[in-house]
Amino acid sequence: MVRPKLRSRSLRRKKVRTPGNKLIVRYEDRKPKITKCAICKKPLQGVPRLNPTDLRKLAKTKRRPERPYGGNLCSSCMRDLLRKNLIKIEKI
Amino acid sequence: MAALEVGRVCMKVAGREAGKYCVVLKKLDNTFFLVTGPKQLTGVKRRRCNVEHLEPTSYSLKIDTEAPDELVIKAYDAIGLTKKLSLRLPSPEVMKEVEKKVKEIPKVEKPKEEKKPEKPKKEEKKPEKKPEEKVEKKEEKPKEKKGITLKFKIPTFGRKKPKEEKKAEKKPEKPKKEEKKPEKNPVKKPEKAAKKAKKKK
Repeated sequence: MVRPKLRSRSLRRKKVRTPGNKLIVRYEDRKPKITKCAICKKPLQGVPRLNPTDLRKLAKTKRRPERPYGGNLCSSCMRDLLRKNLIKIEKI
Repeated sequence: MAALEVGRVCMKVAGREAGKYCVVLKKLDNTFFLVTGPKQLTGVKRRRCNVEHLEPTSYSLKIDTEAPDELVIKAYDAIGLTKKLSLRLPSPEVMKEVEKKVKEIPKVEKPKEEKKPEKPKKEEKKPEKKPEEKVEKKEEKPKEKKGITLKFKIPTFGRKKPKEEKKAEKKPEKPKKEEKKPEKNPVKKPEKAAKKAKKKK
């Protein structure tokens, strides 16, 4: 039996073939889901798919695109939002 | 939709400056405009900008083409746009720096259009010259090479030959060593065997 810690199903099991031609099971953390646009649900570019511990090691500029709503909205949805906001501002 | 003219206040819609306001200063192409925030007021620096990245507002300022930043800031304040768009006027210390910069660097991006037609001409001339030169060089080079290569080849051969000779010399030596080895080995082996035997004991 494996260690009780590794019996948890929250870990991903990856089969690896060793140089000695053995099959081994490795236990890894599961990957988080792909980040998606909050409005159109399309997958976002420029957002790495890493666990939060690994994300913290990156520079802040590498975690998300550097524009308003970067990492939450795709660029086209962000443009539409800004245009809608402009119309509101002009009415006031 | 208001038209894009000189003095039209726009919102930038794409990139890191998205959501910030800017003023159109000049039309460069059908696709590009010269634009400033100015940087001290809104954060958009004086730069070329694509039409698709601009969203025109209903406001416009009374300024000349390519007006300096200092005058643009005053034009903003004259209409009262700074309050409407909730912009902070830069402090007087910053304004002094702006005035200095305006005196030092008044114009932007004019020489580019003049240079472009000149460059391709140079490029056209160069390829014409190059093949001629190359042909001449090619004719000349082999002559030079013959002289040079001969000079270089002689030493290389001279270097290689001794190596070959050494190798040739070494090869006959090796078998001698091999002959010696079998003589040594029987001497060494019994010693080792004796040591092992001692250890075992």
